[in-house]
Amino acid sequence: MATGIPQIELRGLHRVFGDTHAVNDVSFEVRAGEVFGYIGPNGAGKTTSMRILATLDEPTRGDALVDGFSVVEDPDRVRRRLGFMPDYFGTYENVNVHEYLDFFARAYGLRGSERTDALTYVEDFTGLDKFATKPIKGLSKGMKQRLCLGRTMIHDPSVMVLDEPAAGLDPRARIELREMIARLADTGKSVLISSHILTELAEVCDRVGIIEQGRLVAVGTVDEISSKFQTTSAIEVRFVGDVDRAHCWLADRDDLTDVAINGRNVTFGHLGEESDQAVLLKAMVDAGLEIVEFRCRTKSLEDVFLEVTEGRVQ
Amino acid sequence: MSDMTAPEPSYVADPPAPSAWSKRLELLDKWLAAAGDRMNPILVKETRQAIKSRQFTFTFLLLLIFCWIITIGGVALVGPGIYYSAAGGVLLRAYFWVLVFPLTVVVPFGAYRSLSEEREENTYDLLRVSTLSPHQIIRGKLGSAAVQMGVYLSAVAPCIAFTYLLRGVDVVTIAVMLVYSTLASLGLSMIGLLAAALANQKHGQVLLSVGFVTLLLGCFWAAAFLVYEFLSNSSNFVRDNEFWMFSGVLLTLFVTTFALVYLAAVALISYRSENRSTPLRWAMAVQQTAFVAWMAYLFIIGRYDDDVLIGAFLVAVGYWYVMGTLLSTEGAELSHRVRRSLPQSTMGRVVLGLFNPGPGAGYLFATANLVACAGLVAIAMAAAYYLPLPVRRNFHYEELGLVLIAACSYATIYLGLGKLVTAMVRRVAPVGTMAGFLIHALLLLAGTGIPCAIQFSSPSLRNAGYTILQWPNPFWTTVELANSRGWDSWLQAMGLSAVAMCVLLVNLPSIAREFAQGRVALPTRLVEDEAELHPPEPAKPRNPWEAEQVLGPESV
Repeated sequence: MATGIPQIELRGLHRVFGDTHAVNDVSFEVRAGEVFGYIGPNGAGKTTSMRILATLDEPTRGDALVDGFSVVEDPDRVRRRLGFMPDYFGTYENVNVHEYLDFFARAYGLRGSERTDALTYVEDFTGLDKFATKPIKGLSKGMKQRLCLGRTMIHDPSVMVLDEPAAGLDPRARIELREMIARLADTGKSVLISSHILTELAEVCDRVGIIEQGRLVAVGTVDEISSKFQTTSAIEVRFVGDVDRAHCWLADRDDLTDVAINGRNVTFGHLGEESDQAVLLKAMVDAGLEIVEFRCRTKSLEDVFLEVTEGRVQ
Repeated sequence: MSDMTAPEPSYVADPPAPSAWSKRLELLDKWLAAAGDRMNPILVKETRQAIKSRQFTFTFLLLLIFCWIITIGGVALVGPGIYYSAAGGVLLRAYFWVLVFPLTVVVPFGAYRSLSEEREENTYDLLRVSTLSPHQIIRGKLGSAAVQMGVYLSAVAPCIAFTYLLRGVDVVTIAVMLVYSTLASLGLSMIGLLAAALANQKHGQVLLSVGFVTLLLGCFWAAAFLVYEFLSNSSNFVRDNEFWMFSGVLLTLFVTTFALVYLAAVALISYRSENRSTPLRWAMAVQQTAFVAWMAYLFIIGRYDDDVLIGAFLVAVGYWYVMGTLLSTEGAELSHRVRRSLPQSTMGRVVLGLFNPGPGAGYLFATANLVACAGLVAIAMAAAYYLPLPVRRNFHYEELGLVLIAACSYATIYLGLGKLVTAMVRRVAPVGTMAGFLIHALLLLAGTGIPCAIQFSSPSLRNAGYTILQWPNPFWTTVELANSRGWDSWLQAMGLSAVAMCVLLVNLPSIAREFAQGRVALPTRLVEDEAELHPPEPAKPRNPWEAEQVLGPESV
């Protein structure tokens, strides 16, 4: 791994299938040890870009680099550094867990003690050591997903690309998978992960990229994207005393929108920065409104996603 | 009370010393593990799978059962005559009929399914993202087919040895049959792998599956017939020099075609930026050289006359036309990866440029080889005329000369036009190799079919025989030129070669552009990585003073 070089870099990536522009001028970088969430609706172009990164598909224009190596010109060097976990299992008949991992260890050129050490580490990391002799066909979905993660990391890649790893998993398996991904990032690996379950990504990702209709519409931390796209902050105020008077006072102001009573609370949207919120709070207090709680609700990744995307598919 | 205390008895028994046998077994285990490490990963995986697979167990058992039935039935039928009659040949025939089914059907189809199943089960992508090279994938699949073949052969081996004991069949016959059936099985398995690499869409896989099974069944029946024929006349075959010469030609053809098919399968599953064309061109060149070498040898020892020479040349024309259609439809843009290894010197570019990927180089490669073949035929004609060869021949020199000129010209014209049309279509839509091949085929069909259709639909020309209208028709014109001879035929042949030169000249700018492409430098990141992977060895001291500088004063 070269220092200073982004571990993953997409440079003006395009992929066209007939009339469909599946990936349209996508560019972003992922640094070493970073977990990057790649989110977007179905058909947005996530899997296509990931397949290009994994050297399974070729870009129509642009390039993708892994540790400074082009996926188009040096796919062999990219493959040595990259672990790809597709959104399907890909298992063999008449093979048990250990044999499956052993095959991929050999396929990645691991020999002798290097291979046995890698197998022991991966089986231990994924908790598959107890199922080593179990046929793959008899594994549960969660176990198969662990096996696929094990296969992806068997050659100790510096970059991991995980396409929908949490799809179809029960809550416990999702939490376990999330923990494993966090542990992988702690070891310095760069992880590019796509998921529909946005709460999963919010907790594990350092940054996210939102893609829609093949175009990357936003990149950054959840807060950065939220502040960039935020037009109004959702504020909730709890009063003691006359809530109707507070509602009327708030509804008369021009900088507030969607003022509504919700029990003893009044919710509204506010146009402006945090300093403007402080000014507003002071004005409310000066106006004699009895305030118990003043809360600006932080936006979740889900809110940001819904705000940024328009739900269009191609 | 005595101070002396008895020592505490030890309840933990010492581990027993490993016996010599367990040491040997441990050593064997280590040796096998080390050997397994060197083996192809796909071969290891597929052997493990095969051991547990029901299909393999079932086929193997069935083979054994049939062999037992034949043995018991054969011995019962021969009865006491087994002590004095030569019943080996009959039983060997029966055993081979049982053996050729797994060898010509089960093993090749298994190789085909093995690769196409990887696509169906989505495991092919997992192989592609691994560091396994396309060569390793194909070799692993082929190796797995060879292992299966070995298992089937070993099951029948005792029965074959039994037939030798029964007399009536010699070792050479058995060896020839085993070699032929093994090579046939390997060759068919290789074709199966090529077919599996070719079909990446579901409907294509279905069509190819049906086609391949039909081919295999055809091969099975042909093999069964050949076994019967060979065993009926084996004593004649084995003693005949012609048979061994024919076997040599066949073996050369097998080895060179096998290499070509293997490289084609590897090319089909390689990444697009790889140089997939140059190894194939070398294989074609080697095949042509081997073919020419055999033809020259047979010509020198006086085994054939000019009709064989013309036949062989026409085979070469067909071969280079088909190869040319594939080569001249390659993409014109060379990837940076390919350009990193282009020859640097002008001489290198001129000589090795023909082996570089690209439609222009491909077109020139095919026509150059064809012209070389024509040149060799001309040399053979001259040799037949001037040299005292074993058999003095009465060659039809004029006929041969006209066929050479016409065939070379037509191949140059049609390949050149096909290349131009493909380049034009490429401006509006992507054209793959198969589409390019179709363009060439349609062009040839149009050139042959349209003049025929016009002539046969015209009442005045229908019965006129060969007319000038048939000029674009390479088949009729070549035959006509060879038959009619005379000055007008030579004039017509010269006209054809002039047209061929024109087509070549029209293609020349694009060919020149391809040849002008130079080598590009390695990217910095690649150089860094290479230095990391293979650090340069420290320079060795050339004298004691340098040694002192490098290794310190005590080294001197």
